[in-house]
Amino acid sequence: MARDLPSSEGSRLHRFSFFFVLLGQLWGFAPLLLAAFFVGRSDRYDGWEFIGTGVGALALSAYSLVYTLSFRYWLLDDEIVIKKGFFDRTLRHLPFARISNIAHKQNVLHRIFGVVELNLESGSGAQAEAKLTVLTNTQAAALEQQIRAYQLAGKPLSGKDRNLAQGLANSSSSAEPSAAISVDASAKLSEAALGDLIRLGLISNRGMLLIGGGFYFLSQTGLSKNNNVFKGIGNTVSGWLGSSHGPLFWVLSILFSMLLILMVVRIASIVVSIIQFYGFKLSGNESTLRTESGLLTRRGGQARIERIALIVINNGWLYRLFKRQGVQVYLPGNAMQGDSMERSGMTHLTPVATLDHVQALIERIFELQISALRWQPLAAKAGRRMAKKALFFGALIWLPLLTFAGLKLTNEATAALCVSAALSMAWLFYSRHKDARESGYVLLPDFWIIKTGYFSQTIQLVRRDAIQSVSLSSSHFDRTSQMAGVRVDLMVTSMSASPKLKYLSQSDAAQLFHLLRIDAMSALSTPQSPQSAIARSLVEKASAVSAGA
Amino acid sequence: MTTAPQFPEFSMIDPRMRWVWFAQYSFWLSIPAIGISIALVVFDFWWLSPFVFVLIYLGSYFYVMKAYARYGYAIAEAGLWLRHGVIWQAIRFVPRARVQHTDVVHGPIDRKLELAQLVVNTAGLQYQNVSIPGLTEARAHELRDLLLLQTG
Repeated sequence: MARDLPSSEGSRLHRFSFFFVLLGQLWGFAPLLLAAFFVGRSDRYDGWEFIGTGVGALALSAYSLVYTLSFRYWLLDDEIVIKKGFFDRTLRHLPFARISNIAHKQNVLHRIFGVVELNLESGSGAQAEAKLTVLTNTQAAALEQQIRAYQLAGKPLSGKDRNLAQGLANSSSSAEPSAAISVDASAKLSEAALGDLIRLGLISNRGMLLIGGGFYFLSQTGLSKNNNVFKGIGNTVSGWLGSSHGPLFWVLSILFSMLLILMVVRIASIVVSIIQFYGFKLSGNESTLRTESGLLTRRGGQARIERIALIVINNGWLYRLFKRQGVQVYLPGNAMQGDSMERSGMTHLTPVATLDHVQALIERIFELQISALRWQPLAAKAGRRMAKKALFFGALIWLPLLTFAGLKLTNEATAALCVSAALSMAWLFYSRHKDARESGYVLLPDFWIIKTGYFSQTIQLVRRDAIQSVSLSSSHFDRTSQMAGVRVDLMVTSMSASPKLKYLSQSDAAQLFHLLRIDAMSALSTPQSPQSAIARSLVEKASAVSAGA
Repeated sequence: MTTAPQFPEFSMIDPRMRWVWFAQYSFWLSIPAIGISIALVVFDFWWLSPFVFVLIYLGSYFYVMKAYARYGYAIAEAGLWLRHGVIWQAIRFVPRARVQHTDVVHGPIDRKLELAQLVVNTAGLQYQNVSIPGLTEARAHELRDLLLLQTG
């Protein structure tokens, strides 16, 4: 869509953009700076550090200034045009129809200055196609409204609304957006209460990263040398049991240490969950969804429902214990960007909610009743195959350990290890059979739904018209057991979102492969999803209204 | 689910690819073979070293022959089919409508043997690039045209 630019000069970014671009650049260099600080500590001072830092700061400042001053954008009827760069000039046309995800980020500094960072993603790469750092809240809201209105009706806003939206987008005032823009009204669909976020912390292992970072920091700063936690635990247990260092001492020390680690991880997980999902809100209508969440940095995104390629319902045993579920979504383009550990834009329909709420949410948005599904099972001997594999790897770990124990440790310790090995192997045998019994799939007109596992159960809803390629695969052991697996590739940039189902009978796998293959072939030409139907009916309605007017 | 669906008839790639793959496998497997040989010399079992190399080269040869026999492609009206793998076997299908763009690539050995590789790119993540090696230059371009002609 290479058109001439309008004669106007276009819109600039906010006047504080320089500051935020510079901060973004510094953040990109943060690992290098931290490494230099911790690893390269030296008592010798020769002044080169200052010169190097000064040159680096000047270069980053110059880049940020040139980037900000050269950045222009034009909001046209059906696309946004961006011009950036001074030496390497880029002119990018991004049609509204191609935008699958609008991600917004607002940290504490953004909120102080009343600005927001907006990323427009189309899924054609790991990076956002348009990164607007930064706009006023009003400009961002107007831009989102214009894109949403276009995508809803399949045509530009008309007359007064378009002028109003473009006027707001081009203004630099940070006043609240006017309610006069008559695009679709959004209803609140889901929220996460603080109690639920605490439950999420208890369920998930989000704190592991924080704990890992903490240990790394302690090891680098040398603080851990004088505060050995485990030595302290040993001394405490030793105090309870007198000076005895018998088997009871070791068992209690290990149990106590594990309990302590578990507690610290859970507390850290609760903190991370609250920081990440505080004030989570999902709103939307028949065609578009919008989320926002975060205690310090407010992140969120807006996406068309029909662009959601994969929905993952987390239903592990801890979720079930708390009678909760979580729902993640994957869209084309919501990649992990730069140093961020989080995907951008819309990532969850709800981080954690009651089962009824999740069921209602899925039914309302995707017209699906998960509880009413009739699951197709895996192959009859799938449990045995899975158990054999797990027992083989279990034996690989336990046999050397037991051999070592038999040669070097006391009889009591060896006996204790033998009991542990037998228990863990029995657990592997039981859990894999249970996993196989609880796994299955359902093929619906719009979705391929996969349920895998029991103890860490997930239910994946794969949108069939998002399938890019299909594979039918089998290992040597699969073939001897008359089994095969099916895997599909989706247009989502996350390795964890690669739906596959193994241990199917060969005939079921081949049949499934062919059915999914036919979807992938016909998807682009004939979109059949209910949301496409809704979009079409909305277009028809909009046309009827304009004809009436 | 009763009738077994049919797969297309797969075409073989150029037989010279067997030697390209054999050269590649032999080169990379020579590195651990050298390491094992050094260990054998250190532990006074130097006479076993030639057997290690023979075993590795023979293993590579038979694996490559099997891999070549398994490797096949087909361009049907619906899209591209690929069959590959010896231990982990797979049949992959990329619909014509999902092909983003294609590249014809020539590596140094390809250039020497006047071979080319057709790389088909999709918007997926796991299998962004599906490639068919061991094609003649003309065949690679023919397949590319065949894939792209009917996309629109």
